[in-house]
Amino acid sequence: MKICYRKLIGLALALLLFAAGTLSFAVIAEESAKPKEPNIYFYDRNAYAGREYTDVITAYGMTLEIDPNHVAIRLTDPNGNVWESTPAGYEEDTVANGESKMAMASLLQASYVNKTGNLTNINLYTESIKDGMYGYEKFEDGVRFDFYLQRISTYVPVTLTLTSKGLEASVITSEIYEGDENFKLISISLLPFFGASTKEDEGYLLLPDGGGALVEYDSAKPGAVEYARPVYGEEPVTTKLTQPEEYQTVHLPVFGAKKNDQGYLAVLTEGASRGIIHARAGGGLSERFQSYPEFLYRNYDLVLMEKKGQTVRVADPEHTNAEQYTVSYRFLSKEKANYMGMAETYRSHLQEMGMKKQEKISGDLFLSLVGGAKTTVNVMGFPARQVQKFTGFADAVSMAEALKEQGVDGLSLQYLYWQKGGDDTPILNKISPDSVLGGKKEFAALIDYCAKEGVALYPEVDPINIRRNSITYFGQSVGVKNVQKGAAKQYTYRLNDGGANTTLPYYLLNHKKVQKVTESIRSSADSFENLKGIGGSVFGQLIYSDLGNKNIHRDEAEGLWAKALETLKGEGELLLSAPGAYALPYATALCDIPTESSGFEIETASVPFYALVVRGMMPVAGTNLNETSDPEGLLATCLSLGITPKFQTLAQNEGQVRKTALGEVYNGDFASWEEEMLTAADLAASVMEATKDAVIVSYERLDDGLIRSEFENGVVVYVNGSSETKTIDGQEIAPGGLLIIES
Amino acid sequence: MKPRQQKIRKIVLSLLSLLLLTALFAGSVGAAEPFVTYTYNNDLEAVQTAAAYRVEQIISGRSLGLDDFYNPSDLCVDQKDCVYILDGYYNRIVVLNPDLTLKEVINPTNEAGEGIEFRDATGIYVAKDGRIMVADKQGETVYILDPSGKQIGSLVKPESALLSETFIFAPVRVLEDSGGVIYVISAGSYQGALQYDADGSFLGFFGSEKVVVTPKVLLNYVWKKILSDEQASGIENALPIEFVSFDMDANDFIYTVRQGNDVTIDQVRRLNAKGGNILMSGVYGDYGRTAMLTDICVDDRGFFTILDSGTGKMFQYSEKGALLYIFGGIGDTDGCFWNPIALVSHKDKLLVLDQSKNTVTVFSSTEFGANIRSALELEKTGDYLAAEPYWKEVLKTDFRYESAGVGLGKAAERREEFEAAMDYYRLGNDRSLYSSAFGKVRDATIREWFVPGLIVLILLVIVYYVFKHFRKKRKKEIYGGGRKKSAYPLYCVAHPLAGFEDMKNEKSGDIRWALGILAAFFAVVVLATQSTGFIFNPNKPEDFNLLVTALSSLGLVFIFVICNWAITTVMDGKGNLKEILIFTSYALVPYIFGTLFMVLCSLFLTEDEFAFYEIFQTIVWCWTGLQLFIALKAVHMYDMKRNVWTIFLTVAGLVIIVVVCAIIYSVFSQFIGFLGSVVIGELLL
Repeated sequence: MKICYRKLIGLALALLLFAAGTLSFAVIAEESAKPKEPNIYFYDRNAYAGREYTDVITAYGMTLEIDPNHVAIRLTDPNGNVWESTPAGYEEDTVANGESKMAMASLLQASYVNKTGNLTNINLYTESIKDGMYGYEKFEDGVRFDFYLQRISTYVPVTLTLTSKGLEASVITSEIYEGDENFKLISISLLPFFGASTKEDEGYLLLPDGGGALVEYDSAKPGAVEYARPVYGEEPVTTKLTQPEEYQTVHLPVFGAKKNDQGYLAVLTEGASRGIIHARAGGGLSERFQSYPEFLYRNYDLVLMEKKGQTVRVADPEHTNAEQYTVSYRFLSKEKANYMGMAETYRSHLQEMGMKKQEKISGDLFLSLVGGAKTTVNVMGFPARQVQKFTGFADAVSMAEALKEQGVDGLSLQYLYWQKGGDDTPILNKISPDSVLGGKKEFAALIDYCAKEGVALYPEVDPINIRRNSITYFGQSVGVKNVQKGAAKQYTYRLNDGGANTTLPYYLLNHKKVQKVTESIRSSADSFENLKGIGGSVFGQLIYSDLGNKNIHRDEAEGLWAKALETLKGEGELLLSAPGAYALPYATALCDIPTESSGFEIETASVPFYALVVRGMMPVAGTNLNETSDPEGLLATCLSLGITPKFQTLAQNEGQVRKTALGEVYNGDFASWEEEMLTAADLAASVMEATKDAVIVSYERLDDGLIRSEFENGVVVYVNGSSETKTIDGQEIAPGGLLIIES
Repeated sequence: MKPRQQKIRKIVLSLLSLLLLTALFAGSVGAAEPFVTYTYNNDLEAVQTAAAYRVEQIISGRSLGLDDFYNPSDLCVDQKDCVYILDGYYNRIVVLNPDLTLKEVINPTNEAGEGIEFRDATGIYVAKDGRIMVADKQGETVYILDPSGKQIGSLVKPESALLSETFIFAPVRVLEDSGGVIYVISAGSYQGALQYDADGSFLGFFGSEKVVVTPKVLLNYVWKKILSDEQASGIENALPIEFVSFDMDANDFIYTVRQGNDVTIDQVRRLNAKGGNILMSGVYGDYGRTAMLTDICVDDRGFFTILDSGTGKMFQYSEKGALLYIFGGIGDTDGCFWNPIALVSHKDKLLVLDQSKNTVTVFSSTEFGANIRSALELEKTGDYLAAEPYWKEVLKTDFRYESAGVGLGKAAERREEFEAAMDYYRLGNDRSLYSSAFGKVRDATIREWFVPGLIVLILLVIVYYVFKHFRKKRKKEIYGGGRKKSAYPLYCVAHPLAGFEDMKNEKSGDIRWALGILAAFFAVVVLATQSTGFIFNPNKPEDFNLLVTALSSLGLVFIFVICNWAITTVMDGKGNLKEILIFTSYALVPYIFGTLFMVLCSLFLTEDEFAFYEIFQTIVWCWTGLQLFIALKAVHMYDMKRNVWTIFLTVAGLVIIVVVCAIIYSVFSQFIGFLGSVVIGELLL
């Protein structure tokens, strides 16, 4: 027995030594991985000196003047318009209190959490500028500031660079150094008051809220609730146990401002998916209307501590791996200083990013087909899960035939829930048409029919949502992880109280596997010779981090998604549904492009900014006409924008939909809606014929209920949305009428 | 310069009707609905529906060219469809034209012509003759103003024996009926609304609520009975929860709405002149949660809407109290609220006042909502055929809307197309209407087939007897004395006493037969949950769980057998485990046949004949129980008393085992869950 004990003690000692060794090695490794603490900069500032721009940099026809003493800049853009980072005369602001004034004198703002999880905002003036705790250096086309935020012992380097496009402001995230373990930097907001306006100015802020929205200076509610929405929607790996409010997504990482004769469009060119777009109306914190970007440096999540019954904010120990986050200001003047000019500027930016003008852009009718969904049926007394057919492949052919017969040209079909299992599929790494819908043979027949008749067909694939576990794709293990390193559960929500259905979570496939699945879907799709198009909408709508051991943040996911989309597209065509900007370069067709905004208190009007940007580049369809509360209004908007009207439809068994999980499908059976489809297609055809692939150069909602849009090729379209007959150029337009003037 | 050639084309846009086009640009920001419209189906599940209302316009002080409202508190619509907004902080009443543009701003003055300063104006009502009444809660006064805003009277705390000394007059809402009687809700008054006649003299209280009986109320009641008066005085009195707002319909019925933590049912009442509730009892608001209902409005057609300020939702009901749809929400966007406090119906629109946003949100009806209301209005007069086209439109916009199925079913029934009606009722998920339509179809079928059926039956009987006559002779040759083993299961059904005794004595129970019977038993249980006709079967196939069904049928039988064996072995029972199993199984035969027969019946019976179904069910159970009793008595060779005693003990043992199993299961499943998360979450990754 004694020997036994000795052996045990020996073993324990050995284990202990091994553990200690590993631990110390890990600590050393950790230490060496940490960036070195930078030198503390100290700027010998004269706190009593007035505003004086002492340094000047000139490049690309612009002049950047810097006041290093107050850390403020003044920029004269190529049009000769002047922009300031700190509004002139901010000390006299009648609304702002002391803290707001300090914020106005700050080039950036930051937020951090402490150990107990409290989130605090701090401004640069108090933390750094006041005591001269910053470094300042000029380089060829710009300047660099190294700020030391005293309260949280954190260094934040920022550069301001003049480029051929305009002004670029960047946070050098790779060089951020956090010196105090008690504080974790969460986010940096850049140039919060750059180009801020007041009520006296004429103009508006442009927000990328859904389709787009304006905050007009003269009519916005003073002190309206701040607009602050994350680009590309909320981070999916954060826990959401109650239904997030139904706001429109920010699809485009831009914001803009028109200030009298001058304007800018700001594009988040690096780290967009970690960005939050802010806008404030004058009369709240200050007199100024401001819009600016905030960038997330690290994720955090609200975690329910069950023992305490409290929700605690838990910050991710890891921060972004990005080199830098950048916002690029493009300046506009005179007749271009409006949302049309902003749309044009952004369109050319997207073209530089790779968005291509497609050869064929017209489309008279766009249908979203609901394939099949699982229901429970009774087989010999035993319940079984079976796919219920709503639109079989043969049904799709007969629908297209029926529409063709009625003279509809330019038909596009997006096919949903057609893979094996309908709406309830595991991750499928190949094209596997459901047998209830007609199987491979009829699917191939549909493809051939579409190829022959010139119908654009886009079967949607979803290699992301793990709604059903399979041996190869088990949600808990191949799903992405949240801050707590657990599988990031996704939920559906109850309608009546908005609570999550926690017993039925689903997961999001990790990025590495997504690429693999996408590749094999592509090669499977290649085996169908005539299958030109494919739908990858899920990539445009969902972008997420993985906070597991191999940290991947949303900004990196952008690149991975681009790669996946490139793969999925192959040599064919790719349909995306209201995609985020990162996916636009890969799209050859778009649908569900929003034309409305969320209607936040701060907003005074909605503008179809998204549609204005993409119209003329590729076939674009609007949102479902049969699902809006205002079909006439939506159709009028679609026609005025020259985009294709869209319906969601199904061929049969509509009475069975209630037995499935397709909670959002409540109408659109083809037989009932065919007439509306034909009417809409007919109207769209006449607009498409006249406007062809022209982009829109002017879009106005006239006061008296008319929409006037002018296309690049000179065609003007009027849509009368009022209840009275209108007269334009001697032509009467009846209520709900449409006038196309071709010159 | 070349003369510009213009090619002009005119096209008329005409999707659906053009009636609603005005809503397109009228001041709306052009936002999509920030909420989902839904309703509850007949299974009380929340189901999304098409939008019934959309946000048409947001009215603020600024949009009218005035200073913004500040904590506005109430809305009212007068006879001419003008809208009155009570903006008490500024001592003003903002009046809108019927088209919702600004008409005038009334600054109330007293008799002396000085401006009235409200202390906390919370309610406004405009009488038919244009008099304006404003309830000032803190000011403890209801001001009565002429249409120009000049005070012509007031109501204060009445001198009456009905009022206790501690009664605080805090008027929050006011209205007047066509007889000139004024009703005032005083905050905190549980006796109901105060009634004044046209002269301003107090008439009494109206429409007090009943006490909501909660466990706490019951407990307090018991304590009060036990304790002395002095001690009991410390216990709070059970008082009814007062209603917080009301509205009046075209027939002078007053609708009240109440809120409170204990109020989960009958939140809305429709009171007749005596103060009696004539509205269907039920849940008004969401199921399973307490609503913070703050206001109610009734439109000219009898549809009423209630407002839940806790969730920002509006619930619209038919005159009968049937839920139509639910919409709205809390949030920053147009169409959502922070603190919605009042709503009124204005023609086909709903206006909601948000006290925190300081806005009035105008919701206009979509075609979907309008169709539902038109159809229901026609149904009210019994004109189901006229309602049919509206229901068809409803079904087109939302093929899941159950009331449309019911409505179309009624129309089909009116046309005597009962089979079509059955399909519609099934779509409408309405069992009792389905049942009545089914009954008519069945009766018709019986009438049609009665004579041929009778002839066939008679023929069959004749054939049987002829066949029997020839067969009898042969049979006698084959069968000689005692019964075969295989004859026992059926023999025991008819002759339980002799059958089970013989089986014990001759040891002719067969375990294979027993297992076969158990298999049949299980199959029948499954069949009963799955295949019982629509009318009698509340089960849904998707809720079926094979394991649970197996455990609750076969599992119970096995546990019963084991318990019985365990107990009878120590109580001189003569049956061994195998025998007990065999006898128990044989005793289940009546249940199998009975249930089969009932499943069959459920396909033919209607709801009205449910009593037969129940009676038969009882017979089956009793018979099976009796069989089991006799079987156990036989197998153990017990006397009556002993048999009763052991069966009692067996059942007790059964209960204990089931409870223990349940506990073990719950602990074990937690453990598995924990293991799963550890293994999958930590080790595999």
